[in-house]
Amino acid sequence: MRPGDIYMASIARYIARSGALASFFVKPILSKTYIASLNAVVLAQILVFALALSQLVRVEEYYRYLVPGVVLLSFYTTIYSLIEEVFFFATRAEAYLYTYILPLPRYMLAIGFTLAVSIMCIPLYIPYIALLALASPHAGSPTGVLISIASIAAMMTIFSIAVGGLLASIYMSIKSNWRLLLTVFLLSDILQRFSTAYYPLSYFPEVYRYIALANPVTHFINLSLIIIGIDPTLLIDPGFSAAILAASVLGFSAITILGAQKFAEGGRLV
Amino acid sequence: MAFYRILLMTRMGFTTWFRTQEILVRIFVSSILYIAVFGLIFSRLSYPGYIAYIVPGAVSTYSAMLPIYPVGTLIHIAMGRGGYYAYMLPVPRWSIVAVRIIVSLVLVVIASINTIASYWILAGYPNPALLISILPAITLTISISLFYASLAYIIRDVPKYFTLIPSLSTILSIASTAYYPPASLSYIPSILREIIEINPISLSADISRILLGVLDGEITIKIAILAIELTIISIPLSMVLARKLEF
Repeated sequence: MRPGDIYMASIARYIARSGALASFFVKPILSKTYIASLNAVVLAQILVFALALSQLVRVEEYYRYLVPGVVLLSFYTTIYSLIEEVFFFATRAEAYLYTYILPLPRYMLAIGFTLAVSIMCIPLYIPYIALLALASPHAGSPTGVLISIASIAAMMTIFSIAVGGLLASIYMSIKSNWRLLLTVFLLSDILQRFSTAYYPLSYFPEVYRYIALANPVTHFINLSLIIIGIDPTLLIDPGFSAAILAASVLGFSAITILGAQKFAEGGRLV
Repeated sequence: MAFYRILLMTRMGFTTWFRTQEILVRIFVSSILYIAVFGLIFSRLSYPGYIAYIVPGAVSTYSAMLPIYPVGTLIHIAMGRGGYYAYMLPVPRWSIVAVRIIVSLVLVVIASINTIASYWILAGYPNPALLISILPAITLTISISLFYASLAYIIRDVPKYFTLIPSLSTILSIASTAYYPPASLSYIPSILREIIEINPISLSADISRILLGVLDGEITIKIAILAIELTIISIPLSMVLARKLEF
């Protein structure tokens, strides 16, 4: 066995251990009540909110644009809140003593936690993704539908790792509880409001467009809408979106690895 | 003496809730973003008057959203170790809930004033008549807080409360006319449309809109329906709550 293989095997083992730990925190949250409530809210948004707003708006095929936006934004808020909850319990509540004495590198904890949360969360959205893929122009061939589902699921995983990494570094660097909760909330609220989930970029006032273009949530949703086959005149250039999303994923992952190691190792645990 | 103790408890409620600036900053930023981003962009997408239309809607949705955490903290305390202290206090049981309702009311008033002020800044002129929309929202907040408190004592499970109640409040807000005029509900089945029209959040928002002149309709009927609904919600729930709180 080469040294590289041994190194990769240790990384996989570390991630698997962190994931097992994360699922320990996530499983009690993902109760039947939670799943039923989540679906009730998503369905109400699709059947009432999106339908009523599409009657109000002068854009053609707006309902087709809005429904995937609603579903993907719901995925983002679920991932965000679950990772937030897992990190709060793992690094702030009584469990932190056990979390930090584990023989695992800190960045592995961060990556493992976010991977576990996204793997547990994506199946909740698979039925909606399948419906969206069936409504896409590629719906004619089963291979096209499967490719659409697989592409969106892969993007969801990559995106949730990026968001999770960002949250992990915030959780491991801010000591004061109220400052931490405020930062996490503001980040979530600003990213949601300035995303193109509910409205195409061309309708944003000029000042807001720069924020929306720098927002990874915008590009995650934009690329998913491209896969689903939404009218391209309402969307951002796919090359530009892919570049920004890739840069966010790399940037956030680097922040996670460096930040988690630097701040969590040593004195600044809680 | 009991009144003085209740006042002390209210003060304690405020100091614990507003000890850090977190909640105030959250309310401040959220309500500005709601109007300055969602409202502004949708008024470009739909029609220019849309932003004026959703201000009373936003104020009414706060009545469903903001009491969740003050009331939830109460159940959190009552279910945990704090329950021993809360129930040993020499005050009437109802006052423990009343303090939380007062905190919710303050949050709703702060968020509403902030939303209205954001609209004034965006629209470029102050319209004091908009402050009227806070009045139905205050009545609604009292009833909804009582409703949440009763549900909390019936559920008697903290994680379940924080899962069910935020979803319930989101559904209540979505299935109302807070975000859209009744005309845009034409594609929705008639039974669902009728439910949306008698939703207390819709009634509260529509009463303010009629008073402000942004919606046509019969105000007396809406006030009567809202009054009946709030009475039906409040009285039986207060009785349930009183029985659950008693030892």
